[in-house]
Amino acid sequence: MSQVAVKHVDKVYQGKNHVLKDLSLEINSGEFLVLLGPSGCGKTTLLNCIAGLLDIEGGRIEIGGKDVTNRDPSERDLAMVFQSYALYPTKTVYGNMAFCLRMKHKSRDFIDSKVQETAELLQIAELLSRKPATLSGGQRQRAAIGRALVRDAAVCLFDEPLSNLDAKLRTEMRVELKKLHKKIKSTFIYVTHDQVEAMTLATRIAVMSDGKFSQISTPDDLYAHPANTFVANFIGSPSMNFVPGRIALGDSKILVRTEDRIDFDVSAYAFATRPADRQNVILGLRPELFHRPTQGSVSYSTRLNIIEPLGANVLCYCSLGKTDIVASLNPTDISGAKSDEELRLSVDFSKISIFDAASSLRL
Amino acid sequence: MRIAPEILGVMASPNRIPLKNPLSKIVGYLVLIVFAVMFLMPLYVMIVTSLKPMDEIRMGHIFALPLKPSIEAWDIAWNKAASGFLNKGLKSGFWNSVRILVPSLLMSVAISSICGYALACWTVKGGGLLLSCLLVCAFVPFQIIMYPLIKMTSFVKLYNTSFGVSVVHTILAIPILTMIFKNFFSSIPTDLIKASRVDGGRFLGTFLHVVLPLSPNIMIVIAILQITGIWNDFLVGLTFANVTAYPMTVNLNNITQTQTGVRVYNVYMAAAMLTAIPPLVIYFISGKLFVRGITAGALKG
Repeated sequence: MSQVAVKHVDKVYQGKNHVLKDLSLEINSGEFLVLLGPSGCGKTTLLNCIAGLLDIEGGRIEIGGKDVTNRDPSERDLAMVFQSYALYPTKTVYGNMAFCLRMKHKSRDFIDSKVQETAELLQIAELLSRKPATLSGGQRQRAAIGRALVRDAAVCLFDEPLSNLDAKLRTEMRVELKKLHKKIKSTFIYVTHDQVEAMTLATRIAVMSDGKFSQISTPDDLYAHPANTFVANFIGSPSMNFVPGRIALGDSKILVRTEDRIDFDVSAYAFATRPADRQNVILGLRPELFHRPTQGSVSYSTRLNIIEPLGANVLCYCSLGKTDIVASLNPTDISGAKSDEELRLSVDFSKISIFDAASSLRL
Repeated sequence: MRIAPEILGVMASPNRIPLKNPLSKIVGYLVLIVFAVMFLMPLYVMIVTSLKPMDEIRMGHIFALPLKPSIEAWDIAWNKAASGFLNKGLKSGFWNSVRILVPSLLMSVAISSICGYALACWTVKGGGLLLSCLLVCAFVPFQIIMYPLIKMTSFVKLYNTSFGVSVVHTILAIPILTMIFKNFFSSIPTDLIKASRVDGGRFLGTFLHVVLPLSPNIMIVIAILQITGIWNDFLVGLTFANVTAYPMTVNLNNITQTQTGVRVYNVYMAAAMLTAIPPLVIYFISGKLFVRGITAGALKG
């Protein structure tokens, strides 16, 4: 049974600004679902609607099988961590964590033991008597998560909780969040615009764009089989190379021919439907699909513009005809290559994506 | 309502730039001293006059120190000065003022803080319109609505009672106080309100547990405004209270505005001082609290 169900939800601001458009999503118990999308796509709005902090104009929201569309946030059995942490500045960490239990009129002993237990889980037991203003960013983050976890809610909502931390701390907290989710096994819904965060944390990612879901799938599937150019472009860093071209159907081969008359043999690609001849398509090539040609493999001539060595791999910015592409190569492969010279590259065609140019959907 | 200049002074930024140039230092201090003397002179005259017997006052040296200082005039002013038909001094007026002040302070702060909180932190249908109405109301002079208010209070049997005076003070204060509270509460991060709602705080719970603990500064400002405003009020007390419930200001006026007999200036001065003491005390106590509140206000979290 799904833990959270969003059914045909519409959100309209001031009667004209249609932010969420007929969204449907089912989240299973124990899932770590990430809502991913660029800013302004409606992901935080959707989270606020699930939390009950915003009313919806259409559809329904169910939590634990119960319709909670018109319920107050406090009646939805959920917890939330905010981007700004939103710790109560006048209360100590203990007071912050105990607040929701006090509002539920739990006994003092119960609150005490519950707060202690959660604080130990998050390693903030020694901070309990301190006020938020005296804590560092990472400690505040922990306190905010502690406040959410202390009530054993069925669903935990996270609104970009790591975006205010510096890069190193963010990586650490990311690992901790994943561990935490493994340990407590509650349902997490997590909003972020950072695709790395989404890929590393999620059991499932819902990519949003302009108030709609572009694709909902596991991180691996999103990466390997993006449903459209938006998802393909958004997931992965550096992002996927797009090479526009046209289908040329041969007797035994299917080719994609670019404007510059470069042919890519895509016969091995698993087309959902057989493409039409001369159909305009976009070839999606991940940077790591490129490699230096080996004996007998097909290779393409590119012009190397800039080399970015990253240590483990090297990013090569090249021109393939008129199209600029990025290739991620092994450092040993690139030795001897100079910028402004020719670089021959082969492509691993088993992992490419092909999109229709008009609809930008995967073929 | 008039905002007392003293409060604006207290609200000034604590980050002052020190004067370095000795000449500008001298000029600065000179100006300050001159103004201080100008403001303190009448106070000095009042105090020395109130301590002098009538014989000394008749000599006309108003700046001279009293030769035989006595607090007899203060005793008369407080206990037995003639005011209207009664010879009970300012004492009764003082307690009447307290009886008017306490309920109107509590009612106006309670009502307008909750109104301001609702308008600032929750989505209220027609809230914008209500706010515009309040803005207009805040600038309607009391004299214009005095007569309708008298009719209304007498209809609900509150006219000529000290509670009625409190109700009128509350009504008159609500527009401006609501706007001040609304502006202050708007500066509270919305995430805090959201967090409280998710944590199970309803409208009042969020107000009491999250919003109020963040608001001691604004409460002190409002308290200063209201206490001084209500204490110093003359017209509302005069029109809405009956003879036995007159506040201290009306009481003072009745003592000093006698048309017959000897004008006992020492008693008048003592009575005026007595009337002015409560707001002064409030300024000194709360001003200090308020400055501390500003500098210790690390609200970010």
